[in-house]
Amino acid sequence: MIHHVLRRLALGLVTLFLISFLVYGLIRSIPGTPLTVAVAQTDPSRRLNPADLERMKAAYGLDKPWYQAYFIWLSNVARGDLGRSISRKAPVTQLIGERIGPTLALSAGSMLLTWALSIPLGLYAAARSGRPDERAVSLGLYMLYSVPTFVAALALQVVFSVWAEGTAWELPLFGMTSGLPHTTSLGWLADVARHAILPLVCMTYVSLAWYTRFINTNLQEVLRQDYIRTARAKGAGPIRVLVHHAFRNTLIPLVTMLGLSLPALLGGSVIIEQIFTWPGMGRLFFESLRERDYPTIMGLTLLFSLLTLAGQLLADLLYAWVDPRVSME
Amino acid sequence: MTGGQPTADNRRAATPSPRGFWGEAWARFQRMPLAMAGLVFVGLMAVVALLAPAIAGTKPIVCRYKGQIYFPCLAYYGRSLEPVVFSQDKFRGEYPRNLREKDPESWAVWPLVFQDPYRAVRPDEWPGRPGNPARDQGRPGRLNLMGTNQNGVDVFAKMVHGTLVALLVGFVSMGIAATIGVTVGSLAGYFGGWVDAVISRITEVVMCIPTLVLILALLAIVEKPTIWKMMAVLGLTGWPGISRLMRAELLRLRSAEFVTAARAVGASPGRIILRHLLPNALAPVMVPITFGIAAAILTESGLSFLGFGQPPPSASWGSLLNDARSNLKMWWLVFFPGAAIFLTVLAFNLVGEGLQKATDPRLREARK
Amino acid sequence: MPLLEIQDLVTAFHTPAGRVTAVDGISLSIERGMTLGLVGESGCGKSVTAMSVLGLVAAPGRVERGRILLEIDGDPVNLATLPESRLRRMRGGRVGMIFQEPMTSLNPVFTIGNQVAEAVRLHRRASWREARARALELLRLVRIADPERRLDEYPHQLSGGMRQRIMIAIALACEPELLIADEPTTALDVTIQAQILELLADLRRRLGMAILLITHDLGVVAETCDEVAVMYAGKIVERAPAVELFANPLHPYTIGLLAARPEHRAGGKGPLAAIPGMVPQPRDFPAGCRFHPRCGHARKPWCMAEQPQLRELSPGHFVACHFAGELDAARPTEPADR
Repeated sequence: MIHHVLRRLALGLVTLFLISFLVYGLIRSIPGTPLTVAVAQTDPSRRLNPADLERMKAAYGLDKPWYQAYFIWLSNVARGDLGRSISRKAPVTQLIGERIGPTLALSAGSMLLTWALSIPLGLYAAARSGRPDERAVSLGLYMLYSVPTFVAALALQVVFSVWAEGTAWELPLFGMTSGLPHTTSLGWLADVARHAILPLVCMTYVSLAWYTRFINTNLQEVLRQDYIRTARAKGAGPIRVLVHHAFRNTLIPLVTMLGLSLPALLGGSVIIEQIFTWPGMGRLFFESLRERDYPTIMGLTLLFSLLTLAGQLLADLLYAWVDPRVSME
Repeated sequence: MTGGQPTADNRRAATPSPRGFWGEAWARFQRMPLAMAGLVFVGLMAVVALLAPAIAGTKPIVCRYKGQIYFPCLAYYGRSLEPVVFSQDKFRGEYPRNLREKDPESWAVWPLVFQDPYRAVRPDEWPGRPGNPARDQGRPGRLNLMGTNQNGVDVFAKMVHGTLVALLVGFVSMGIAATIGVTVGSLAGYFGGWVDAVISRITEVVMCIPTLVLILALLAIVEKPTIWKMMAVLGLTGWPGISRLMRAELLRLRSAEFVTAARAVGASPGRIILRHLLPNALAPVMVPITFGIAAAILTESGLSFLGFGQPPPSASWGSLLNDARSNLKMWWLVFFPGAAIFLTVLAFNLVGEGLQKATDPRLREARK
Repeated sequence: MPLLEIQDLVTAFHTPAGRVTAVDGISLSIERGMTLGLVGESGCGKSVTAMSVLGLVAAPGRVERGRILLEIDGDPVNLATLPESRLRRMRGGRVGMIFQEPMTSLNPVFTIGNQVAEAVRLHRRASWREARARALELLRLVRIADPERRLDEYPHQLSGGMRQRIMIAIALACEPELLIADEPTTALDVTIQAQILELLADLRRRLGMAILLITHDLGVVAETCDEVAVMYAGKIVERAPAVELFANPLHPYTIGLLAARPEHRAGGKGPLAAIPGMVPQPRDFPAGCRFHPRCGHARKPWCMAEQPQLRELSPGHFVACHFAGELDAARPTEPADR
């Protein structure tokens, strides 16, 4: 088992190397550099003269060809140094550290909500399969699943921030906090919670619909198996058959998905964070792409790819743990 | 000796002639009302998309000018299709007045709704009608069924022409992704060995690169993102999933007996793949392709929404949502395109789901 | 009173393509301690009959008519009309059932011990420890080697034959009076088959249990059954004590089945005497006697027009044929390619 894990880690490292190499090349080929973009946005009177520009370029390593610059970056990373953001002038690790909390708050909350709601809902749908109430719920979930997040986000904003303006239903439009000072940390928590409601709903409804359908479909497949017939022949009641015999089998693919959702957990949703101006990783990514902030982009890409590979490994490990038929040889 | 001859009853050739795999799947599909509804909706969309210039536009569908018959509306399909005479005569896109003034004998058949998806209608462009309201005054009304955006461009016209954009994006980008994915996946699955190893690594790398980076980077590199370049980019980022599925299918099928039989008769690998393996492997792949069309439309709208799509004025539904962001009081900029995207994605999802149920061999044996 | 009496059972499936009658009015009875073999080709409805007894027919199938009387403490109880909660107490309690596919009939994510102990705990008040002890006992009963270790193993670690023994252990957990065995050896190797059959016979002797054995294998029937019922196209065509049936088959179908055995060819060599034609699909049942298109003795107009009822031709020997007893019974149906 250890061999397998080590082998996966080694392969993963190779893939990571390849990915970072490609991404670096890709983003360096995008026209514009952090300096030109930043410079273009400042007013003309503060334009740097060519000498200063050259000096800055050398300082940031932008004067070297990209494959050279890549290896410089790589050697830094090997020493644990992710570099400094060009546009924000702060260490990349610090930026990531600031943003990771808000992202985690949203995604962890969304995941907990999803699991807490979709498991009972999925069991219910499988138990009442074919009946009118199950059909209605399934159709409703299906339609929910088809609403794009940005449409839902905008619609919710229109309803709860514009139309509900001044009423008790109003929810804040942007940001994580309202920027006002708070007397207690509980007050701050409540403020964040109020701001988090809309983004959380947007993040959750899609995965809720998806997971419920998945559990339902999988359960129905499991219920067709021979060992369910055996369980019934033993005298087990419908609830026991569903919750004990069938669900335990559905848990197998479900748990592996837990592993695969690892990257999303920390990567955040770019669209939702953008719409709600939530200060998370997704937004950082988006902004640094726009600013051509190479160190930050590379740092985030590295993190994201690492999480993807780790997530796959986690999924495989969880699968082997939960399914007695599979061993990690 | 009484013989045990089979009687006429027994020699029942009464089973109806088999319809083949796709014929049977189609019959099953037809029995699913929701899936059929989705298919009908997609069909309607296709009709609207094709007839867009005839439904909403400021150019006549057909007109007679100076003794000749012209079809100015074709300009909406491509700039170059606009009859040259109209630019020579300095129409500048304003047909109603110019036609009347420059040739009193002219007649024209106008689109159902006189609005343009790319610009605001100017006052008195259509005789007696005020121009489109600008800024946030463009509520849905009689002249502008779905309102106008901040630049005064009519939303209904944008929606109608956006249908063409959406369908094109969906089908073309998935077409590209499917072609690449099927080819790459089949090669990997059939040949195995180092071919498979190399292709699998490439697939893995492409899948691991954050999609957003890939798309945005590619878009930025091509500089001016036209709709065709967007489709190419979406296609180039969408193939790994299909490739993996094809590979799995081919791995499963290549050890099947009919393949060994084909090889025993001397068929070449190409022939085996094309004639024997692909028809069998395609069925399960059709489903993610259908879902992929919806996903492509979603992604394009999302990108337009974020500001990365076609530069304005664009007819994409996502661009309307982008307009909505700056002024949320203009709810019509959210709900109409939002509903359209929702219904489109729903329709494709229903069709994909129906396709899955219709072609799933396991479900066929459920009744024993 | 017999332990189990099935009277005029009709089980049908309501598919999108129409109503399919899998079991069309059959009657059976099993005395305590007796083994009844239900024989027939694939698709004749014998499995559906077995499932109907315990109400386990899969949707869209339903028991539509008939009575299934189980004798409990001297009184007949109609299983067909029993509410589900009470029927559940029968399943695994008074009536055990084992199935054809041992490889897939055990839940892959629970241990053997867990699954056998569950069978005990569903019907008796027992702690996990007591149930586990009983499970160990049962494993020994079905002759599993090294039972302590097996208790904590998972189904995928056992062979097909062993899994079938576990199934038997589960079915016997609460000492049922009747065991329904639906083709228990069909999916197993011949040598394992013999072992399982021997085990069943031994258990029957020791526990005084009655067995309803469903099979398509005449050899199995000859070895294990006291009485045999032959099923064709949803109906019972002949029923008799085993010895009598093999010595003196009266229905043309039974005659054909017995004649088709390889060891019964004339001189032991030559073409197999197959029954011409095929088993009809439920949708295409012929009018009149369902066997008549394949029967060498069919005569107009009776065989084509009227379904024969079961008649007792000699004590305990029932036949559903218009001309039973009048045929030249010694002559098997001719092979088609004469």
